[in-house]
Amino acid sequence: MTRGPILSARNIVKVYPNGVVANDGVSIDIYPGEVLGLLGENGAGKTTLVKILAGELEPTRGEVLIDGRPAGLKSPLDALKAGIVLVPQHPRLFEGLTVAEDVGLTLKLAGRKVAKADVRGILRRLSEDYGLEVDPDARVSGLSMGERQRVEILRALSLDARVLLLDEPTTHLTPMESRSLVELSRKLAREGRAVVFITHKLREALEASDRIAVMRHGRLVGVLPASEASEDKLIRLMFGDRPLPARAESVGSARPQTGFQEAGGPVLAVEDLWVRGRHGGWAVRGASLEVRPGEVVGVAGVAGNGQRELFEAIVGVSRPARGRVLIASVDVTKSPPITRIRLGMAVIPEDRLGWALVPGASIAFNVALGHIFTNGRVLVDWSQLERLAIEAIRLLKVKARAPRDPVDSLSGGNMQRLVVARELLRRPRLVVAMNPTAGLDVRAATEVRAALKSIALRGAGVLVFSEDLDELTEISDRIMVMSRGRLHGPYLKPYNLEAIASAMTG
Amino acid sequence: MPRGIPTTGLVASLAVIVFLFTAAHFTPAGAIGVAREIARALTSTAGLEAAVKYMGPIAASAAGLALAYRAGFITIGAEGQVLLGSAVALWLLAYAWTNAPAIVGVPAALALASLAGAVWGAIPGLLRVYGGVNEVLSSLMLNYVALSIINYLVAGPWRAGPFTATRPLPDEYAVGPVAVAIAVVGLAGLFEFIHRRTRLGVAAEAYGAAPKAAVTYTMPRGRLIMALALLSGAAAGFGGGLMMLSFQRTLQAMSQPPGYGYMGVLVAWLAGRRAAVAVPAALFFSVLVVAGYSMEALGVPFNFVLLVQAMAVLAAALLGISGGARRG
Repeated sequence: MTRGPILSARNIVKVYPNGVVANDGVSIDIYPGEVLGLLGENGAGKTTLVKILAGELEPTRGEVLIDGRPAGLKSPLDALKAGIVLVPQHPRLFEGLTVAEDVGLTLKLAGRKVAKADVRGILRRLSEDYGLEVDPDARVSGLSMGERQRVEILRALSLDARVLLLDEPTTHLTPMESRSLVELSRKLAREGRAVVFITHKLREALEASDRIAVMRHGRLVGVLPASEASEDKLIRLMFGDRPLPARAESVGSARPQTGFQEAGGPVLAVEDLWVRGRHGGWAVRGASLEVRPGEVVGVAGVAGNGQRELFEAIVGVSRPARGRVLIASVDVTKSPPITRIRLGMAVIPEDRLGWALVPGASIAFNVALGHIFTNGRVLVDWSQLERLAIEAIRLLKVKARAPRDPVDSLSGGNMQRLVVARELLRRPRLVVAMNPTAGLDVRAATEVRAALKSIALRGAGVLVFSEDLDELTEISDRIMVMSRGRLHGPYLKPYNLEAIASAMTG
Repeated sequence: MPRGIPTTGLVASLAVIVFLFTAAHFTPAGAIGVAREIARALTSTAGLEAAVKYMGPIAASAAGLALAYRAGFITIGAEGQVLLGSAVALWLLAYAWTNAPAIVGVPAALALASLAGAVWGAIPGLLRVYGGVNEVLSSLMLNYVALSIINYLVAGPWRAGPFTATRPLPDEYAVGPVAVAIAVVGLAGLFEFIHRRTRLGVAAEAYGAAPKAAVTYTMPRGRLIMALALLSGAAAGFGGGLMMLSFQRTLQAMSQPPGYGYMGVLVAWLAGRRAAVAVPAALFFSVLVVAGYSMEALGVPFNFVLLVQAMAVLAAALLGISGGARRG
């Protein structure tokens, strides 16, 4: 590259108000004429980085340079005017407008004066030049997700973008469409534009990119030319290469191996479960799994492959269309969550405030939530529940002042400690958890994982859905992989990371 | 009093009242005269007694609604439930069991009124749970169905004498203001207890603040809605029974519902959805009702009275009678 970078990030740090460090000192240069693949697991900080580059988020520290000069981006409009356009993962168009109106509006916002008729002409020309077929007069609300994405890209092109930031652009595309998008990216680069192509699919990154940057836990862990990259190398960068089997082994040997596995049936059995997705179609396609007493079963997968729907059907907040869920051999497929909780299920949902906890209510109220419907009493004894809350606070060292304080006053990590403590205080025989350590700092995450392991050691079955493969390899006895609604596996120890990762990204 | 009194709002409502009086050609002296008459009416024994009696149906409805609203079950059906409660109380004591001793007859009438309210309240609950029908619409429309039922009964089977009116309630079943006050304070206490000390109350609170948490960790939504529909209906029906026994005493054909249940809706919100606060808030409304009657008696036009009442309610809302609206 002889020319200097168009767009640069310098030591970008982004800390969200809830304390999550999404970017931790990221520096990278983006050059004209290249496709830069940005690879990483969910939650690695890719989206945060491109949002900062596009002026949608302000970095906590660090700066963005455009053509080597501090950009001082205050809003996405500043970035648009500098020719930097973000194509978000989930298209953001005006439902009520036509394609031409939507694009016209953006042009107007970016300060271009274009007549309505001209917008149509521009769209037609761009559609032809780049093979992006869209009817300018179609209403956005009637378009498929793939078509909307095309409109987003056309919009960027109509602004004559110098840098296109494509955030997981193939999420809503069919394999065919994905391939043509990869080709389009290459074409845009040949024209001298810069394209940042975010993905967690290895093959896509290898096909589309000139260089590949890999992020993990908010950091840039490597940038390498695509010609020097291999799937193997990338996986190691994405997931880290620690001596995993050894650690998992040591956990395994500490467990009383005999007795539990054979005694009684599984605490959870899911049989051929089919769950409809929110937007039609099947989110879960014939999932089957078993969790036996004393074991931790991990479900790995990239977010959006049906894990949430499977979790909801197991917990009981949604009804599957087909199949059965059994807890301790009792068919609970049609039972509400509270029946399952009374059978010994503990639930640790992904969303802390609003699902695991009631915002605005006190800590004691939130601890009570997990107990008053299982202790068989109609009347509520608050003094007893306050003692229980104190017990929960002590169990996992929740940093809280008093049980009567609002639960919102806790930090994210302490909220999660409180949820786990509350659920474990019921002495469950089955724990169902979704991303239990998402957004937690290392220490809180370690403690939550330790709590889950210890409950399994005491004979409970634990089912953990997680996007963090490191976490699953550390605590699970078996790993299943969820991809496009289907469960693959089980994968047994010692784990073949490559096989798991390729099942995840395949 | 909560911190930060909204001075602008208060001054504005006062200014509107002054403007209204001026526009209606009241001299300041005249306005003060009216105010003095109202004050006299309110501080008189008769005025106070009337205010406490009117408070009955308002406070009873509001106490039940407060809990339902906490859970996000927004029924507006108290008006019809009050009407039907008052009708069955009258039916029992004036038609069906005319020789009942008061000591048995009065509680029986109130129990039957509660039951009628609960039955009427159950309908929007069932429609919501099994049909997904928005309870705001169904309960509101059921108020007018209740009104039609009453008008039919008054004009048809229950008609007594030349006018479209029923028999009057025999005097021995009259309930005085002290009994009304005790009854509504007891009812509000009961609902406050349900809210704070039972798992139904915890579930209601949880559903209102975080439905997904409530679905997961408390009772099923349908069961909660039905419980709240029945309880709030029973409370309003009880208020209707009180209304019949304390001041209504007969039923006449009505073109519009009398409005005590609707006031209960307002009071429940004004009281910050707290049953205990609903009693003083209802008293505030019934005082406005009595003040309205005295203004009308002084020749102030009816619509004008309504406007002044509305201003007073706005001022109260701004001052935050609902101080304790926070969740505990």
